[in-house]
Amino acid sequence: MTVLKKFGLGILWALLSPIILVAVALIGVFGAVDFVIEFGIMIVNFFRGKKLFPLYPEDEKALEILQRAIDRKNGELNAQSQPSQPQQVFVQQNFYTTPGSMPPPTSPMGVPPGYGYPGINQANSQQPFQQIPPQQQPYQQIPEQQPHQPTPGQPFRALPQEQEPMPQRPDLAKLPEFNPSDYRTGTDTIDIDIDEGGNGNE
Amino acid sequence: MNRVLASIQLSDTDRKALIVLIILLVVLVLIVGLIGMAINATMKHQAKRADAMMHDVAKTHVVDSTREFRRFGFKKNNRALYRDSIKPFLVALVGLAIWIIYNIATGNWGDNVWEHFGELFVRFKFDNSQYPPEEPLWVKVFGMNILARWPETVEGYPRFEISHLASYIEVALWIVAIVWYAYGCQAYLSRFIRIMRLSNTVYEKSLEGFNANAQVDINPEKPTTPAD
Repeated sequence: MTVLKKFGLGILWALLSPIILVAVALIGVFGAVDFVIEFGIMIVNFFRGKKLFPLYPEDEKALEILQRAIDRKNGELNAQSQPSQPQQVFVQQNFYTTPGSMPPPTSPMGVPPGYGYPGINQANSQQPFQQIPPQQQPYQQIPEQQPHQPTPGQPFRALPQEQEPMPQRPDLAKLPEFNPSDYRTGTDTIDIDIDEGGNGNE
Repeated sequence: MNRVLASIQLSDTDRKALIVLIILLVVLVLIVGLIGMAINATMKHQAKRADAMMHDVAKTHVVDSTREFRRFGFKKNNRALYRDSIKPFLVALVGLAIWIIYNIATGNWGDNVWEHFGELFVRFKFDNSQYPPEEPLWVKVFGMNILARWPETVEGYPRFEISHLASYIEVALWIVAIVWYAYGCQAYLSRFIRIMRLSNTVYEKSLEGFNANAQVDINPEKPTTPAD
C-alpha cells in the first residue's frame, strides 16, 4: 500500500515537477535581483551604524503592543498578591520541669521559674523572642505529673501492679517445692572416716 | 480486442526492450515520488516559518487586512530569501575565486571545467555508431527510440588528473551552491504559497451558523477587522 502511495505521489510530482522547476528558476532569477537590493540596503544600514537586518516598523509596533500587554499582566498579578507579612521566628525551648527532682530556681535576672536554669537558658539574657501564649502554642503541652514522693528504702517509683497475674507454666507447676534444707551448702561439714595406715582404698 | 492484441507480434528484442522500459519507468516514478515527498516535507517546514514570521503582527492586529498581510509577508519573505541565499552565494564566490586564480596561474581560460569534473564519473556510450549494427543500443518500439540494453562504459573513466584539481574543487563548490540556492528558492515558494493562503483565512469572516436575531457579544478591546 505504501509503495502504491509513493507510486501515485511520484506520478503527481512527475506531472508537477516542470511547473515547480520553472517556478524555482524564476524565483532564482528574482532572488539574484533581490540579493543585490537587500545587499545594498544592508550596506547602507551598516554605514549608518544600524543593525544589518533592523526590525520592520510593523514588527516593532507588534513587539511594543506585546510588551505592554505583558507589563499590564504583570501589574495585575502584583496587585493581586498580598503584601508580605513580617515573619516571626519562634525558637522553642524545651525545658520540662519535673517538680520534686529540682527546686524551681529563681533567676536573678528575672526569668520566671519553670523555664530552666539561668546558666543555660537562652532566654534569660536578652529575651528577644516573644513568648507564645498558651492558646497559640502549636505544640501539645505536656501535662504536669504529680510529684513522686520518695519513701525511705524505695527510691524509685514502683511499677503499677498488673491486674491479672501471668499464667504459670504447667511444666513448672509439676516441680517440687523448693526447700533449702534439702541441699547442702558450702559451710556444711562432711564426716569422713579415715583408717590410719590405709591408703584410702577400701 | 483480443484479435488486436493477438495481431501484435513482438520480437525477442522488442520484449526485452519493453521489460527494460517498464522497469525503468517504475523505478523512475518511485524515485520521483520519494523526491516529491522530501520536497513536500521541506515545504511544510518552510510554511511553519512563514507562520512564525507573520504571527505577531497578525495577533496584535498591526496588520489588519488581507492586502496589508500580503504586502508585509512579501517584504519579509524577500528578506528571508536574501538571508537564505547569502551562504550559497558565498560558496559560489569562493568557487569563482578559485577559478580566477587557477586561470590566472595557468592561462587556460578556455578550458571547460565541467568537462574536467565529468572525468571523475563513469561515462557511457550513448551513440549507436559505437555499437555493432546487429546489436544497437537504441531500438524503435511503436515509433519511439528506447534503450534496448544497458549502455557500455567508455574506457579510461573515471580518472583523476592532478592538473584538473582546481576544476574539480570549483565545480563541486558551484554544484553545492546551486543546490543550496535552489533549496532556498523552493523555500521561498512554499512560504509564498503559505502567506497567500493565510491572507485569505486569517481575516476570513464567515456567516456560517450566524443568526442576526441572536444576541451578539462584542468585545470592545478586540474589535473585528474591517473587510476589504
